[in-house]
Amino acid sequence: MLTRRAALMGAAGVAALPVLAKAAKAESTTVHEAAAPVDLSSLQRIKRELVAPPFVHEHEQVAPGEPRIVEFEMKIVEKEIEVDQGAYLQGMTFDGSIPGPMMVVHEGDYVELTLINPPENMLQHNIDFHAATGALGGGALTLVNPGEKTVLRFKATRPGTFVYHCAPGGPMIPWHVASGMAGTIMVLPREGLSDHKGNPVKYDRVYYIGENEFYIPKDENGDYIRYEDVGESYPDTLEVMNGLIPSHVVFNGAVGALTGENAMKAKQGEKVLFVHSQANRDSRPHLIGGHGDLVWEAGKFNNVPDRDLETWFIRGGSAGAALYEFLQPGVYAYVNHNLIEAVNLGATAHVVVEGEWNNDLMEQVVAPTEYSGS
Amino acid sequence: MKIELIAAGLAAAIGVPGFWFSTAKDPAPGAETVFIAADTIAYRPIGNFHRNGKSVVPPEQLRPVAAFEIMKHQVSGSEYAACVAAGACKKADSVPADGGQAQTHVSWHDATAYAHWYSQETGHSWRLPDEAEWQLAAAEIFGDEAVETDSGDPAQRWLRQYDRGVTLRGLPGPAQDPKSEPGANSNGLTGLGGNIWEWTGGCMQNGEVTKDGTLQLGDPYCSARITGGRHRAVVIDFIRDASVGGCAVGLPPDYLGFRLVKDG
Ligand SMILES: [Cu+2]
Repeated sequence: MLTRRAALMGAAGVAALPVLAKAAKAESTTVHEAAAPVDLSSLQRIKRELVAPPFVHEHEQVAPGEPRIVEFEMKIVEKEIEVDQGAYLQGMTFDGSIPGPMMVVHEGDYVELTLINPPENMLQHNIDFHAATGALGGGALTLVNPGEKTVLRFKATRPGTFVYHCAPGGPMIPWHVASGMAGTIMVLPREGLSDHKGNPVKYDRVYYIGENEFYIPKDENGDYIRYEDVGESYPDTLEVMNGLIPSHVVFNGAVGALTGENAMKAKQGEKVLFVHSQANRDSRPHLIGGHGDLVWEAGKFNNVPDRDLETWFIRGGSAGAALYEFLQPGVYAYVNHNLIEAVNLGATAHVVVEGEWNNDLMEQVVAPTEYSGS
Repeated sequence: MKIELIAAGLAAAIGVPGFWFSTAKDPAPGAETVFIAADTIAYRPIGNFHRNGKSVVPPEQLRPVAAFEIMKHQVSGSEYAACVAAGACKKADSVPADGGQAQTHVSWHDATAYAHWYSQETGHSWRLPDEAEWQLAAAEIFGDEAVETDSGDPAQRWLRQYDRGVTLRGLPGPAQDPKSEPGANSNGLTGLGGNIWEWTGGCMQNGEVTKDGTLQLGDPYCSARITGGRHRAVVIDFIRDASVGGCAVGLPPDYLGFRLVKDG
C-alpha cells in the first residue's frame, strides 16, 4: 500500500519510519479491521460504451427503475496531440480524447469503471472522481502502472455534473491534468432535471465541452518545442506551468476542435444542455446571441437553477450545466468570455442552428447605409 | 547484519573506529567506500500487490544480499559539477553553496549518467545500489513503513501509515536546506537519516500474494524508482524535486541525492 500512497504523492509518499529498523519491525502491526461487505448481486447491470466529446453516450433522462450498476471501461492513452498548427502537446488522455469522455448515470446508481493503463504507456495514472466519496475520490484505489488495470466501483450519491481527473501524486497531479487528463461525469436526478419551479425539464440534445489550458514551451526563437516523449517534455512544461500563463486555452483539446466541420449542431426550438468542465482553471462560458435559460452554474442539480444568464462561471475543478432553447437559426459562438482566451488562445466553439428567422425577436430595420454626418 | 553489528561494537570497544569497514585503496582516485558484508535481510517490495482482488501490503521475505562496496558519502556538489563540466551530466536544478555538501535536485537519470561517467573516469564499474543493498547498508536507519493488513479497510491502513509517517518524521514545516545528517551509521555511511533521499536502482513492483502467502512478482514498473531515506519513497525517474507533495496522504522525500555502489 505504501507504493500507492507513495505514488499518490507523486513522488513519494511512503509512510515514514526514520527510527531504528529493529524497533520499526517490532512495531510492524497487523491490522484486522475489515470493511463490511456489500451485496449488490440483486442489482441490474448495464454496460455503456463511451463516446468521444462533444457527444455523450446514449442514456435515459429519467431513470427507468431501480438503481443499477453502470459499467464503463476507459483506456489511458499517452499520445502527441497537435493543439494548434505547429504546437504539439505530449498529451495524456482518458480513452484517447481531451477531455475524457462524459459518463452519465442516475443518482443512486453505482459507477463501475475498469481503468486500463496499457503497457505502451510510460507513466502511472489513476482517477479521482469529484462525484465519489472517500479514498481521494478513488484516486487512492486506482493507481495503475503501465500494463495494469483496475476496477473501481462507487455510488453516485449526489446529482450534478462533476469533474474527474488523474491525480497520481505531487507534481504529477497538475502536470497530468494540464496534459489533458480530465473529464466529466453527469449524475442525473432519478426523475430527471427540474426547472426553477420544480417542473420537469428535458433536453433534446446534450453537448459536452471540456475546456483545457495548455502550457507548451517555446524555444529561444519563440517556436513551440516538440518533444520525443512525455517524459522529455516535463521539465520545460513545468516551468511554463509555474508561470501560470497558458499558451493555449481550448475546447475539446485543440484550437478549432468545435468549429467548422466539427461545429455543434441544433435546430430552432430544441433545448440543448451544454455541460462545461474545467479541471484546473476558472472559465466563463457565454453563448454569443443566446442565453442560459436555466443554469446550474456549479453543476449541482439539487440547487435551483439560475435563469436568463448572459455569462456563467465555471470554477476551476468543476463542471456546470446550462440549458438553452434556440429561438433563432444561425451560427452561434460559444466562447470563454475572456475574449483574449476565446479569440487569441483558442477557446471558441460554434453551434450551427437550422430554422426560420423570427423577425419579432430581431429585425434589421435599416441595413448599413452611407452616413455623412448631420 | 548481526555480525556487522557485533563487529562494529567490537571496533568501538577497542577504540578502533572503522576497524570493520575496509576503506578501499585504489590507484585511481575514487570515492571512499565502505564494505558491506553479505547478509540476509527482511525485505518487503514496494508496489501494487493484490490478494483476492484487493490491494494488500506484501509480506516480508528473507532476501540474501551479496557483499558489496558502497560510497561512504553521498555524491557531493563538486563531484557532480565535474561530471557536468565534462559534458556527461546535466546541470542540476540547484547546486550546494559548499561543494563538499551533497548534490541534490537530481533525477534518477542524472544519477545514472553520473555513474556511467564516473565508471569511465575511474576505470571501475559504478552503479546505483538496488533497494535491498541500500536497506542493508542503511542498517538501523532503514525503516519499514508498511502496515500489514488483511485487506479489510483501506482507510484504516492509510490512517495508520500516515500517522506513523508523521510521528516519526516530525511535523511538516517550512522547507529546510538539504542537510546530510552528521555522523555515520553503524556501517560507516554518512549522511543518512537527514532530509536527503537517495536514488536506488529498485523499481516499483507488482504482483499477487497467493493463498499460501507467497509472492508472485509481475514485471516491475521502472519509470518509478525507489528512493531510500527516513522512509522509502517511490519517485518517478525524471523528477528532480519531489518535495512539493501536498496531498492528503503520504509523505514525499525532501531532497533527492545519491551514492553509488562499486562493482569492481
Ligand atoms: Cu495521469
